[in-house]
Amino acid sequence: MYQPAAHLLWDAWFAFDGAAWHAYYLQAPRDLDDPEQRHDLAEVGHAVSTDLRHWTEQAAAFRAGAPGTWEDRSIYTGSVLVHDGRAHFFYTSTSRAERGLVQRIGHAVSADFQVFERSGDGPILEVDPTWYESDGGPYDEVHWRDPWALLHEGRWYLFITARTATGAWDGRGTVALASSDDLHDWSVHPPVVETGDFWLLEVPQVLHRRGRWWMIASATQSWHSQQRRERMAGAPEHGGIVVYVADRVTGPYRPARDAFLLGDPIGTYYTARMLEHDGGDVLIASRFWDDDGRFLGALSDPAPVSWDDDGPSVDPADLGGV
Amino acid sequence: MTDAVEVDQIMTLVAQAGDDDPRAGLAATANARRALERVEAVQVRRARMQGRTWAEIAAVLGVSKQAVHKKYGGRRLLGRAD
Repeated sequence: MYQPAAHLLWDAWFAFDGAAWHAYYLQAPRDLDDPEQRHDLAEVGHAVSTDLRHWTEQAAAFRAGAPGTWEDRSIYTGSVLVHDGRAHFFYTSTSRAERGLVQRIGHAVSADFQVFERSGDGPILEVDPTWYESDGGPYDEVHWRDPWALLHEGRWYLFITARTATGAWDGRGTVALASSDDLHDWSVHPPVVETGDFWLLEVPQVLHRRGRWWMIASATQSWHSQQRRERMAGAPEHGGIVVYVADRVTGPYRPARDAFLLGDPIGTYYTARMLEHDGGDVLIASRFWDDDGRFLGALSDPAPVSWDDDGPSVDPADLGGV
Repeated sequence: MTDAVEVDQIMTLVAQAGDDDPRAGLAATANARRALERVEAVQVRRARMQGRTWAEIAAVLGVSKQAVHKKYGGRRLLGRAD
């Protein structure tokens, strides 16, 4: 388990530089009155490891932009894709002018994996009202975040947490797809995930295994739609990690199974990433809550992932104790 | 296990709430209320992990099931309409 010295940690993403692993993660000061205040203060923390188990904390890698810019409030989750020796960081941000309620996606680059430089002055992607909820929905919040970057057959793809423009309000959670051939011109495509089950699907990751495309994403215990609750006929509502599967990278992604890959009634483990390490896949999750129900903010140990036709499995015991 | 330090702090704040200086007394009530909210949130999560339903938790707290689920259900409020 890893915790930064003076910060709470939550969502994390990773990059391998050829010799060492880099963990990047949202962090906020540890001494908050209420852990929910962390969202207002989020910046990107950074730690380095060779075994994904023992981490050495580094200086913060990225922070909110200058006052008055589109990204002057805080930085939210993204992902890093290494290409031609450079680390491309796709991230979420919000502005103070909009009180943090409208999310957009930006791009930054690093040659040393330590500090990321913005690639331009503006966001690369905003919500597209053609297919996605753009009026803020019932809570006045425009969801367009957590880009997962993937380079496939020469094309850049971003998988983005969003809500569909139509459908039952509690089941609009989906993942949007955007693509680019040059990192400059981006196209937004229709949703790639079958909707109806969750209010939101956060922090997606897509990877190719056993000839198919698998997506993991996070949903809290309170995001189960009425449609899903009726189908599950009273089964406990979990928070944690769900699994989707598709035959093509562009989807459609359908639930690989109803059960969570990792879940419990309070979402102890939330937001996870799978990494290829030492000849196999491991899963690292963020541990949000300790055994007493207090906000913990830690990175789990790497748990080996086993694969079969139903998708990935992990043993929660491998994630390590508190 | 209840957080003894937090509860001790609440006891101190409650004692200060009756201060002769109303500003000091009000500050103490506000801090005590925030501290109690934190303890309540922790206890709700413990109850959920022990398999208690929202209905049971709401009954003990004396509020509606919808209210307790909305408050503690785990929605990640990123933007805050402050």
